[in-house]
Amino acid sequence: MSRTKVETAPADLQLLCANAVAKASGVDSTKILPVSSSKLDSKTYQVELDAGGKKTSCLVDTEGNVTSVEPA
Amino acid sequence: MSGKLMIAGRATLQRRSLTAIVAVAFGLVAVAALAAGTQVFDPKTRKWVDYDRTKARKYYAAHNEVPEAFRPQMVKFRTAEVPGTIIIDGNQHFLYLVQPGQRAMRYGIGVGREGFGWAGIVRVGRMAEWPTWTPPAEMVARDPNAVKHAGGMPGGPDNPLGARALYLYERDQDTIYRIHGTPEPWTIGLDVSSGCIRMRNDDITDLASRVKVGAKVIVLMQGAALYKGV
Repeated sequence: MSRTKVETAPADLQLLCANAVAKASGVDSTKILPVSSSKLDSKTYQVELDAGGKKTSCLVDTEGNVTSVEPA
Repeated sequence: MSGKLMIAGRATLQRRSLTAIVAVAFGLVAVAALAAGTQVFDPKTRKWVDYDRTKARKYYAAHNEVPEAFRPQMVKFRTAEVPGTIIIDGNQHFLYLVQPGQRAMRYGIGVGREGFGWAGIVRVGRMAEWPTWTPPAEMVARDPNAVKHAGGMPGGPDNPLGARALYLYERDQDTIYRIHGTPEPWTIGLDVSSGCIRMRNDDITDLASRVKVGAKVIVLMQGAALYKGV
């Protein structure tokens, strides 16, 4: 059991977003990196990513379902 | 909880004047200061308390072990990354080694102190057992303790790199960052290094036995200003 005072998204959820951004944008996945994240509510995280220089925002739920990918 | 401390990492702002230019190039806005360090839950007082270097050393002295959350354990890990990939969550002080079946082996780590954190996608360029430690010139310049080892410190129990080192490369170039062991196991869970990822000697030995040269390494560090390989 753990927590963060400034809660970041779990690493696996951040990378699921990176994978979704790669598919949506066509940017090489090796050029996509999560740079920040936060918890929106009890079931949703927002992850900000750098996709080859373009900022992208992703929403992912705690089950690992990516619900949104759009430019930040 | 049975008397064991629980761990919580806290996001860390990593600033580095040299790399500010890199951050701008990436179009990143510097993140406002995030609280640094780690917190642990004390079941006796039922309060979250800062887990600093002094408290970590006391815990280790009392238990001869790091807190349970930082010991190796298999965890659920939903990912599209292939087994053998290393994923480092610098904010939470965890290193994951992806396993088949949406699982990962999780280890506790120590990471870069404020101003020395970084993020990126690199790879394991080579590995070494009980490696020689040669401090980088910039470390020799700022740290008097490093001067006497400027020519290289042979491997051994007092060597800062510990039992194994995984040398991280960006394409074919050494990043100067490593995942390595440590003679100071109580520092696991803290922001203490100059940018390297440190693990207990038993853990880095186990990790090295499971990893292949060439393995992808993804380093996540919220607020980091230095990016490698992306």
